Amino acid sequence: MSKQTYLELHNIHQMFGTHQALKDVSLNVDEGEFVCFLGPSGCGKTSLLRIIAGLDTPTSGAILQAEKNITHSPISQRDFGIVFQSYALFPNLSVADNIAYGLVSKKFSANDRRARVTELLATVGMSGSEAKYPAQLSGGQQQRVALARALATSPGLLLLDEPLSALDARVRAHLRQEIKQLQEKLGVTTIMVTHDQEEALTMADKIVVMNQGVIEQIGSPQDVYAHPQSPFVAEFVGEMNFLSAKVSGTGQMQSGGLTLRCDQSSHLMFGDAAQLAIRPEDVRFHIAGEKDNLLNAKVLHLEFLGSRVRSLLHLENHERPILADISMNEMSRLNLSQGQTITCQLPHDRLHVFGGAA
Amino acid sequence: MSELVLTRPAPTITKRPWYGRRSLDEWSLGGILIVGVLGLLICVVMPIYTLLSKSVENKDGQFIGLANFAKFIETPSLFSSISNSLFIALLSTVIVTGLSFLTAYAISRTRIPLKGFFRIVLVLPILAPSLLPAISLVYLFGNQGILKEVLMGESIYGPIGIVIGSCFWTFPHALMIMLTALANTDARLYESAEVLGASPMRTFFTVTLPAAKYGIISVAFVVFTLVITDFGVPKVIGGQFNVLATDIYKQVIGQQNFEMGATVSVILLLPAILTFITDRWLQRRQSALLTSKAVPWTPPVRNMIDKAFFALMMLVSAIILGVIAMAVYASLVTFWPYNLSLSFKNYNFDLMDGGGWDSYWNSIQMAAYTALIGTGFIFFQSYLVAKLAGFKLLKFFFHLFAILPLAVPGLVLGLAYIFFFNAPNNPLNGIYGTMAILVVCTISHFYTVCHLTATTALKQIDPEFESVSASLKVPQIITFWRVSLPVCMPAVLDIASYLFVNAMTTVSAVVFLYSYNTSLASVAVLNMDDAGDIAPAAAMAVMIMLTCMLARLVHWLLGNVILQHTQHWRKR
Amino acid sequence: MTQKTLIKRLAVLAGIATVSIAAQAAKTELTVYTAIEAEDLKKYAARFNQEHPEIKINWVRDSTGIVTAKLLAEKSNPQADVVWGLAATSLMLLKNEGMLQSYKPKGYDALSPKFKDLYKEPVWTGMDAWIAAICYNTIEAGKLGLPKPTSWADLTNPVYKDHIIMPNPNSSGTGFLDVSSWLQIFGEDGGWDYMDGLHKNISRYTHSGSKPCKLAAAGEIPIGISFAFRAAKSKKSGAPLDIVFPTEGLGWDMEATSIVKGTKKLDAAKTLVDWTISKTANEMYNEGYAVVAMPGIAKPVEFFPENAESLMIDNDFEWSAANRTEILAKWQKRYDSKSESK
Repeated sequence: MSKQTYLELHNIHQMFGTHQALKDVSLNVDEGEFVCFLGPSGCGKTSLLRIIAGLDTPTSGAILQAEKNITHSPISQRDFGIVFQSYALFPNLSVADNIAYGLVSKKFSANDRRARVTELLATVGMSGSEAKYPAQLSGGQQQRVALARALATSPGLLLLDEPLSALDARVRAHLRQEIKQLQEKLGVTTIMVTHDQEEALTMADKIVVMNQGVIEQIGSPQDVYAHPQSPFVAEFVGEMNFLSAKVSGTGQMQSGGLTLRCDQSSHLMFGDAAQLAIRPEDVRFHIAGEKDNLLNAKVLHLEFLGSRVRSLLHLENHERPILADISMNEMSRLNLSQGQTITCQLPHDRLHVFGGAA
Repeated sequence: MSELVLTRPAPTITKRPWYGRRSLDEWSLGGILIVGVLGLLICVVMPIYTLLSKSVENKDGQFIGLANFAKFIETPSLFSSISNSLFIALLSTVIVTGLSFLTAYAISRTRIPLKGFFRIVLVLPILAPSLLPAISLVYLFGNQGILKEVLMGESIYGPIGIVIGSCFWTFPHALMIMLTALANTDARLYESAEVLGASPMRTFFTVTLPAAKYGIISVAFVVFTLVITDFGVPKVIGGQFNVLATDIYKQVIGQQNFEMGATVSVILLLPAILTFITDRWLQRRQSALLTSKAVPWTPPVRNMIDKAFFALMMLVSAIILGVIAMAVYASLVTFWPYNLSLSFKNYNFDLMDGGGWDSYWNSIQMAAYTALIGTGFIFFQSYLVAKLAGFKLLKFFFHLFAILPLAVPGLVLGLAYIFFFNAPNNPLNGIYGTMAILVVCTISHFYTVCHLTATTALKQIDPEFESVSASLKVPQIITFWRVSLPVCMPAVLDIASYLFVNAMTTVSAVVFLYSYNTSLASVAVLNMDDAGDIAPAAAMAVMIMLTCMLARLVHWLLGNVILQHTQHWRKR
Repeated sequence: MTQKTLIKRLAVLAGIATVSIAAQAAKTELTVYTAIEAEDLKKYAARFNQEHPEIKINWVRDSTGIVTAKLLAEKSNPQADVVWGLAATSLMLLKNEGMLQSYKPKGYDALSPKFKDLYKEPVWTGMDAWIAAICYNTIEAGKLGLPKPTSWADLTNPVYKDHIIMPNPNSSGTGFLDVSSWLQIFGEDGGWDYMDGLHKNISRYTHSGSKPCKLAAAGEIPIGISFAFRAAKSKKSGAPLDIVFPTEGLGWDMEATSIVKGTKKLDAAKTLVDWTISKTANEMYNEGYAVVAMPGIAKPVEFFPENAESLMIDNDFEWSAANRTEILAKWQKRYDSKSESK
């Protein structure tokens, strides 16, 4: 680790009555890093963010920010800026007053405040909007103002709570890039909570996948996508087909009467139940000279998705159908049609193996 | 996994600072919340507790169990009041519930013209003390009444007068609940009914009525409680027809028999508490019924029905305006019925019982204090309950205490205040007989509605404002001042206007608490009527009504003109 | 400026300051309970203050029954300093409870014996007599064909059914003097029989003693049993009233004055009570009441009979006061709920 650790979470537990919202969560965030907490609603990602912000108290555990223990510090003594899903812009204050809100108590002079507001508005690409009121702005513009307000006091840590979920798809894609670029430019350590895996994959330096109060996996976007460590991560990040199987030898799996070759299965014993997983884009057709892992499949349904075609395949001897994505180029060669039977391959280097029955 | 922290041992959890994890800022606001809870404890809970304990004590303060209640039941004239009260309250409830449903239906479900006019006229009675219709009835149907023949020999002094008077002043309360209930119907249900071929009648009984069901039940309970606990109307027009509320008044004011007064109060508390519980229960049911996807419904053109409803609305408006006009006219007639020339002689209050013009100015003063102090206290405390982090137990008790006054009739509260604040060993007994106790009692009496209004408004603003300002290191009180208060200004004005109008018109609680130097206009109406000065009583009631109209006008100006001009942020 | 003159000036200034502070301090406030008619209250206080500006009167006014009940209820913790203008029967009741301060005001001997507490250490002093009267609305009675009554007995005539209003004796002093006088005129049994008969004709009982006459004046009811002061006032203001003084004799009570035992302002209270029996005060009472405590003062009052004093019954106040509670309880049981006994 070349960079310095900025934020440390140690064994955080959080109980709400009898419900355990967070179970033994530990995590390090490096300085300048962009971290995404990713998971379905109720997984504990927002609870974790609120604990970091001081909006909630952990039942046990410790939080260190810049080597200072802040577990019990009041919000006002912590160093962070926050943007909420609702933006929480003060509706009765102008854009300039909103951004300067935190500067007033920092004893900035009126001139310094004005200069800082102008600078921040320029940073978020909204120069000249000082006198407007939040209700006169679009959702995306409100988002930028909220961001500028959070950054106004130059906090060491920026917390973003589902900042893009209230926006429509195009604005969202655009803002993603902007926020990421801004974060890189300012170098501010950032934690973003999201349930949108695409958002996490495109923006984060590090993704923390959470489920039911525990961290399932921590890693770079590529790592998380290519090497999911649990069926949950595999399914939640990107799409995944599952086949139930049984270990039938070294590097061999028995699934639906067929023996499939696969890599990594070191932690499983002979006869153990397992799940084989493959992403739709990894299923191959038109295989000349390949002998491994070939299966007959019947095309149940075809769905046109613009740049590619998604097919629903019924594999021989398997009850659960799988999805396979075919690029348009390949499609024009294969010329698939509904009801057709075809041979497909599940390449052994693309098969993920998870222990336990489905 | 190298990413997981296993390299460094977890640091031991540092001790919490002595003030916990709250900032001093939060602790000081919490301190204000504690003051609020104590305030409600002293001004609402303890007086009521004292009242309840008085009902099981004798004059000397010894515990005598239910002996007072036994005595009450044995006294035939007192006991007959129960059946009288029930009769009056039930009859009024049926009439008002029916009428308010029909009028609310006309406003929200038909295409009659002049809806804006009707909306104003139909709620006018709320601006007048409940005594005004009673006095007006004397001039309309009394022995010298201009419409005496309509009663065909029956006397207005008695159940007829009480029922008409009660219906008049409770009607706007019922109408407002009913309008809310009928406003929330989903157009898609009507479209479905139409598509399925249901007749208008069937649609009414299967869609309209069930949707308004909870509103109707709520109205019935509210009217019942208002009528059974009101003594102004029966006092003026009741003749010898005794009801429970006048019994309390007679026992306490007439005979200074406080124990029996307390006993009757406890009996009056029962229907009020029942109403309160039912209402809470209904509100929970009602909110589950509404979906956010409801589509507003535009009533179809139905000529016959619209005409019939228009006629009804004209009739009801004419009655309301007629009753008010009669009071105004009677107050201007020099000597009814022998000298019908108009003069302001009856406005010369200084020659009458009741405290004269001083009582009017006292009322203005009392209402202004109530509106100012009450709004400030209620809104800020509601803010703390809604927006301050933590203090869960404190907030629970605050909410409980704040809801309680809704279940306590004014009469009962006023009596409870005598017991509590006039006790020689109460360190607060210095405020007895002063303006302060009137203000405190009035604020307490009308606390719940204001608290709920403030809470609703505060819940509509973004819950994250406080978190954002804390993250920006801005003290919460500054965010309250710069953001929450301006954003909730319309609700704040609503509360102030509600408190002002009610402080001007209320009789029930303050009648036990005023002193010679703090007599009030509304009480003066009662006392002047008592002394037989009915025209001056009408004049004072008219003064109160005009003042309330003026207050509403100011409210409207502030809310619709000034707020709109100074707060352009509200416009898109 | 020499030093001497400066000192002189300072001394003068100091003197002025002392005097004005003293004047301020001497302004004593008295809480005075009363049942005097509201329209007279300001006048009474103003006349008193002409001679004694150093005492401020804080009135607590209500009808006789209520003031009495209030005083009784506050027995353990009295709020009043002086009672000025309450029915003598009520004061006697309070005296029996030991709540009044005995005091013989200056000029006491000059009053006629009827208006004196004849005990050795008198506690109350009479002011004026207020006498029963019937207000008869000539216009309304004419419309209904009701004959003008001349006696109490006339009022039980069934022709008057539902055309008479009288005050409730439990709250009104006038109501009580009516009831106590009937019990004296007709004897105890005869009195209750009389009231049984009268009750059949009563439309309703009012809270205050003025109201029946005011209602009669307004034509709301043709006949109101009330008292002469109110009847004269109403007639004077133009109401079509005849004032009837029944032939059997008139019940009456006095308005009287007393000091409440335990007052912390005894000196001021004595000053006030002294003034209330003075000649000036008696002349003031005479503006509304034909019979006052100081002999030789009373001038005829408009609409009062010339021989008012001779029409008054020989009222046994001691008896009335002693039996007040009992009488009122019996009355309430018999008549209070009109709807019940009908």
